[in-house]
Amino acid sequence: MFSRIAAVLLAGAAIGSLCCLCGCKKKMDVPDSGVEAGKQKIGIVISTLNNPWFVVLGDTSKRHAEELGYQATVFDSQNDTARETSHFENIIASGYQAIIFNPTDADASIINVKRAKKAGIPVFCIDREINSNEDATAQILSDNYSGCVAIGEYFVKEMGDKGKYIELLGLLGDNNTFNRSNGFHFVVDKYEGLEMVAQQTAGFDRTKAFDVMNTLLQEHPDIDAVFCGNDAMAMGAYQALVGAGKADTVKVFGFDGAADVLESISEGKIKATGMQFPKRMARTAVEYADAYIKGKRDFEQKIPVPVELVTIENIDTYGDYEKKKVE
Amino acid sequence: MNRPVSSRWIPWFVVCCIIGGLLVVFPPFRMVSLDLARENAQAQAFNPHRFAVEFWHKQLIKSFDNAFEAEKVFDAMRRDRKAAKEQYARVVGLGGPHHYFLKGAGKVITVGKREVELSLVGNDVDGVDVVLVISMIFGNEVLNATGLVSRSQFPRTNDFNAISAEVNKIVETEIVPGFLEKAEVGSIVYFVGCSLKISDDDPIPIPMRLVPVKLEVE
Amino acid sequence: MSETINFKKLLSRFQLLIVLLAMVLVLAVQNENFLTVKNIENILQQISINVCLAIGMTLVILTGGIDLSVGSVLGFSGIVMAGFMKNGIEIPSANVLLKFTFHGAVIAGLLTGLVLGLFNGLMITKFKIPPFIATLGMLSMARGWTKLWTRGEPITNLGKGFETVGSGSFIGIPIIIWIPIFLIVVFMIVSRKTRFGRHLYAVGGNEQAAALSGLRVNRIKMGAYTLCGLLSAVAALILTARLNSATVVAGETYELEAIAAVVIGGTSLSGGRGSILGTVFGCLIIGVLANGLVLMGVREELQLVVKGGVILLAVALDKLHSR
Repeated sequence: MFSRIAAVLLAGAAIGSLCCLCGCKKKMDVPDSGVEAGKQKIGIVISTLNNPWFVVLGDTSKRHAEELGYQATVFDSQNDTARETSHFENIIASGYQAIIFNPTDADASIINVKRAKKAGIPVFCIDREINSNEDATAQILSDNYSGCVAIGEYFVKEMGDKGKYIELLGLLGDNNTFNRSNGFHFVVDKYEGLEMVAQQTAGFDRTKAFDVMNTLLQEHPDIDAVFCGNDAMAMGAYQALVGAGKADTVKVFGFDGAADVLESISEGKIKATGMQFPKRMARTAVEYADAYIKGKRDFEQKIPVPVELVTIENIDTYGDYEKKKVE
Repeated sequence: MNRPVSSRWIPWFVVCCIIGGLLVVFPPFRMVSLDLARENAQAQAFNPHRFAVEFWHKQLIKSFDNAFEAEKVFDAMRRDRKAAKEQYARVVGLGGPHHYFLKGAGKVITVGKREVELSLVGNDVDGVDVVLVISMIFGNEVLNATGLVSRSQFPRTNDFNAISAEVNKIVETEIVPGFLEKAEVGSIVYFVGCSLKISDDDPIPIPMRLVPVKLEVE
Repeated sequence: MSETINFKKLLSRFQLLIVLLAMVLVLAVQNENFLTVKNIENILQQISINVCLAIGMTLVILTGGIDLSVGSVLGFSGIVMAGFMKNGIEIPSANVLLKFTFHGAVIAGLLTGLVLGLFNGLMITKFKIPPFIATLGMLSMARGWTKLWTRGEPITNLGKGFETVGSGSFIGIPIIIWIPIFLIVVFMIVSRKTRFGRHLYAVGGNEQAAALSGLRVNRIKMGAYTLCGLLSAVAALILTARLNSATVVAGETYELEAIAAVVIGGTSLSGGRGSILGTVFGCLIIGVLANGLVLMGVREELQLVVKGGVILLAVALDKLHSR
């Protein structure tokens, strides 16, 4: 008896929730109810939405695609290549015209791009690359290496070619982690007076960086600087230094150009960061996708987007993940 | 259940034999010499040094003639910076940073540990027009300015960066030392060089900083 | 007595079918891309991994236990498979490199899963560690081994064998779909027709009674965990083949998806009641729901909410049943 009632309830609830979703969708999610209108669709697959920087990447792509008259959906791969594969399969099955793609992994994500290519859907990689130059239609990539060379040079200038420092890496296995670290070390390692006393991973994560930094400070209380693979870690490391009363003597360097770090630079708390341009990358990728749909085919495969060094001297020209418009 | 112990194991024995037999017929692995395998892997791996040396001798040297006259470029730049960029510079990626690939002759003004200052021959005043960066050379300047090698050629951008590092090493170890032996203040130098990255927001980049790829002292 | 149970069983199976059909109906009306061969193939491929894990999970949950380590075991088995395939084993002292063939690597991976499952079983039966804790330990250990082995780098480009499994098909149906179909048939027979299957229910229903009536409870439990480990490794094969690579995070949080499928399928978390077929329906419902929400362009955040709601409903249903 109960089971019968429950069955009806569950079925009703399921149908009801689906119907409600359809209703909601028409009202809020897709303003012009794109599916029915046969509007063309662009899928945006982002490696993770747990980091505000990537949220900017996804949101900007979505908004710009909608401005150009497409229906756009953002998919979150949660740093899991398997999830990414499901997203690609769903996108392919439901007839999207193009994919804006921020890969989870330079090697493992290649197969997903191949899948889309086989189905005739162009893929435009943004920010992170895939280790292939024949599968994506184009790849618009932050020039992490050159950006970190610039940070390295500034680091040397600030340190006066002598001192001890700690490096916080992002994730092992992430291309950007090593592009950044390599660029930095390529410069700094040429100065024998600069000694790296510790190198640890902190997963691009603020809290983890805070913990790691606290631990490392026990062992190396006499450091002069910290180089962090991204801004979240720089903020975490800075907090740890504040707690240890060393914030004034230890110089912190980040990478990304996140809003809170820009503010800290202007207050003199953090020395420098590398400004990446997520909005510029996202908009360019969407424009490329638009051009592709309209018939353009010849794209440069790997297009570097410069990373600019932000210090207290030029902080006024940057903000909100962009260069401020100069009147 | 009441079967004698020995007969209970017979089916297991048979199954094991079958599996063992299959594994012999279709072996799960084969053995190879470790040294040989490592050698093969090394031979197949990308070698940035080899690439850089080949690039230098087969492509770069032949392209020296394609470099623009520094004097001509500077004149154009002083007249109209934007037009000069369009005509002579190579833009890399999005957002406008660009490089010049220049040649010319200059008089040595100063010789420093890291930089050499030149004044272009033909200039009336001995102002510094070109700064040669001779040590601590970083970045992709040579590949970017000449445009002979594109990052699109490589599956991994890391490889491209590694080649740049090797090219810079050639500059530091093969081009610069010979030059420093002969050069002194006042000597005339013929140079070919690649400018450091120039952004549109920078002031007019004269004196221009160059990574030299050819230096000849008269 | 037995007739009413059968009737109830039938009805509960019927229930899931109603839900599934209702969902399919709504989605088919809503979106013309839903009921296409391509998309159905797509859904089945996407749930194939969860089917493998959930079948194993069902066996364990039937005994009244739980296995939180399936995702990590999947991850580690996958890395073993991929690592053996790609790099082999180096024995520097003998100057020998063992180069694995495709089936050699797969067997190694399956054995890995089996051994880890057996280890879980041993911890639970011999050391009397509660299943929740024992498998939680394994969850952490197996993930740790995976990270140690790879240092975070994925192992990619595994060659022909994995590619064939990943994108090949047999009589028009992808191999990736055949594997779970085969497993479903095998384990439906195992759970219904074999002594081991009936004993699983008995142990889960009332462990003491089962022990008193002469069942070797520990062995049966160990069997369930070992099979669960093996099935995790089969899931690893599917995942590795589909991605043609093994990554460090492969399988993370998959245990939750598997438990959800089992629970939606009407298997009681306290053990003794449930069925493989129910679990399969659970997987289908989750898979169709996830796919349908995507096709309708529902935001990712909202999808999570809906999925959670369905799981809650299912458990509420389970409670109504057992009242």
